[in-house]
Amino acid sequence: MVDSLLSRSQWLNSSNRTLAPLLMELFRIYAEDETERANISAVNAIRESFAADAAAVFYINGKKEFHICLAGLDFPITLDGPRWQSTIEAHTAEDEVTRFGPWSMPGIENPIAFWISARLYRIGNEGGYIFLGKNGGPWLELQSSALVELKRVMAPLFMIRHERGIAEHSRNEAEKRLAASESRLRALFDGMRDMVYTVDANDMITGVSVSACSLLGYASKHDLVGRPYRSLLATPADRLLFLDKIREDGFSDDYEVLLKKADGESIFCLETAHARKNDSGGIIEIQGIVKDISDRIRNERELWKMNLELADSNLKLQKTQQLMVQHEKMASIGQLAAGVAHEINNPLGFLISNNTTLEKNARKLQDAWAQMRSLEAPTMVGTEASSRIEQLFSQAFEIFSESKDGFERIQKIVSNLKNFSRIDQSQSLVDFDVNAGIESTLVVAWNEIKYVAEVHKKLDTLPLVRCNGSEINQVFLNIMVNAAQAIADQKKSAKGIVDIRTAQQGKNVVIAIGDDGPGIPEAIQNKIFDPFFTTKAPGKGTGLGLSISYDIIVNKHGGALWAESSPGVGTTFFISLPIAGPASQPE
Amino acid sequence: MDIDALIAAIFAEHPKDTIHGFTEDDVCTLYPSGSIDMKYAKDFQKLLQSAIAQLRTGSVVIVDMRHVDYISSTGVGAFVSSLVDAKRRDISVRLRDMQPKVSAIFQLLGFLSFFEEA
Repeated sequence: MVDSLLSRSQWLNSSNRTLAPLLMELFRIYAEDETERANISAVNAIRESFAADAAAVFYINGKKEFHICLAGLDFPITLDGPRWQSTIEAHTAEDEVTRFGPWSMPGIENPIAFWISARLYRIGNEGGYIFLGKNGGPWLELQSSALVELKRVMAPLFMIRHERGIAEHSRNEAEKRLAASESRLRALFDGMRDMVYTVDANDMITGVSVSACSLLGYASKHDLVGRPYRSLLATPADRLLFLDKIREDGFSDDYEVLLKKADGESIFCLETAHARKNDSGGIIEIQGIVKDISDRIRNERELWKMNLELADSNLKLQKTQQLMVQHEKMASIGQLAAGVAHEINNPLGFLISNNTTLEKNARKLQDAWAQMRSLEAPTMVGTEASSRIEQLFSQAFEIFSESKDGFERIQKIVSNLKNFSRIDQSQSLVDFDVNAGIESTLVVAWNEIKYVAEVHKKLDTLPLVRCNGSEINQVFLNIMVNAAQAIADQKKSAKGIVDIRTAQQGKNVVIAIGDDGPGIPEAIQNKIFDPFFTTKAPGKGTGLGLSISYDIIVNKHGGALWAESSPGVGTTFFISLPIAGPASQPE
Repeated sequence: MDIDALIAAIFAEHPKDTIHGFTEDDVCTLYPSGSIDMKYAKDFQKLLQSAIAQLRTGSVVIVDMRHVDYISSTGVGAFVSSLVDAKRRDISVRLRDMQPKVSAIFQLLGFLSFFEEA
């Protein structure tokens, strides 16, 4: 640099030798001092060399400050840009030395008579200028050309210093910006409430945020850095699944992981991570964020628990309700039946008794008539009156016999009614005659059935079945009434058929109750035993009948209840009851 | 019951996690596999609920868990919600052959005891 300057300074051998010491001095100053302060030393040297009363260098430094270095001052003066600019524009010309004066430097009172100025360098819109002032008389041509020489020799040096100043300034600025950005990122990383981590290709932790320590209960980040990431998981093997996913997709979103804290406690976390890959697609680093969601999980868990408990209590409520409806229904039917049976039984008692007495008396009367006819009035034999009396006797005995039949039938109905209601009183298991149960239930259901269907029965001889008779009767009743209603709903002119069969099958008794009604649509066949499921009009059905029946047969008696239905053909309900009773008696 | 269509729909959505199942004698057995994560859990819950809705009262749903190697809390939630539906219809939901790390999640959330083992 100095060499090139020297080579351009062949003028040293020229007439203008007086400049040589100054130039040497300036080179020395600028070589020794790379800061802006060199300009102060330089301007002092120039003033001295030119024997000037005032000397100043105008320049814009790297920080874009508009400075003046005035000989005799220890520091550069800073002007505002427009004032600096207007001073320069008023007192310098493009490429020549400008003479002016008298003039005083901005901010200095005393004017100086004679000034010369020259531009030292120019880079873009910016330049450096030198002003020399003296009072004794105008500047000599020699001095003016010495200034031109000075400018010519020194310009490259000034330019280089100027550019370096700018470069240094912008480097400083860039470093500051970098540092600011670095500290922002660092603050982001460390200030994250969620844990942020990086691992290398071998899944070893290379960095974690401060929050990781509080999340996992470690004292320092150093406890975590360098460890394999999987060692933080409650189930380390899960990490392999996670890494597989990242290898395949390049990322993994909201993957739930179970982290293990330093004290061994497990916490539910949500992890999102992505892989940084090299050009050949190999993973260099995985960066991830882990969020503690244990609070959320706790709340969700409570909610699920509550739902389960709610479902449980709902179920219990439903069962209780079913039970109540069942008891209520059976109690009313039973009471009604018992009441009716009782009310009929009393008059029936004296009707039968009267009938018997009347018949007995009639026989006595007949005997008496026979005696009287043979002993005292043989002449009456064959007369019209006699044969009329014989006829009346024979008719009377026919009537007595018919009445007896009728009374027996009433007696049977009453006994069935009493039977139906009597077993209702007991809650325990009895040895129950299923066929008799069918019969007595038919009596109760008869009014529902008789107008819409004929009843076909095929009841095999059965062993007694250990069960709760009243509950089984209730199931029969529910299914028989359903069958009758199904047939009635068809509104056919001809009567339908309710077909009832019983049979023993191994250790079970199977009861089939069928109808030739419309059948159950396939779509709802799986729902017919659900509580409150009904196809009947509001008020006609509770939707509990079959559900209660199911509960009685399946849950209480360990049996089976199912339906086979073909739409358009009819439905048959099958009840299978273990003869020996339920395996363990329910509470 | 049309559980095959449901399974096909799930398979289309989650090709990586296969699932199959069949119903016989009122027992519906499902064989999920892979990860029951947040996204999968939603569809799996739909499958369970549809199965429960279509089965007859008193049926059994068995979920064979041997090929499930990851479950999220949402996955457990799917099972619990289905259990609520199942209870209403007197259908029992049983889990079979769970991997220990999967049953650990059920245990940690406190729901393991709600499911019968099959």
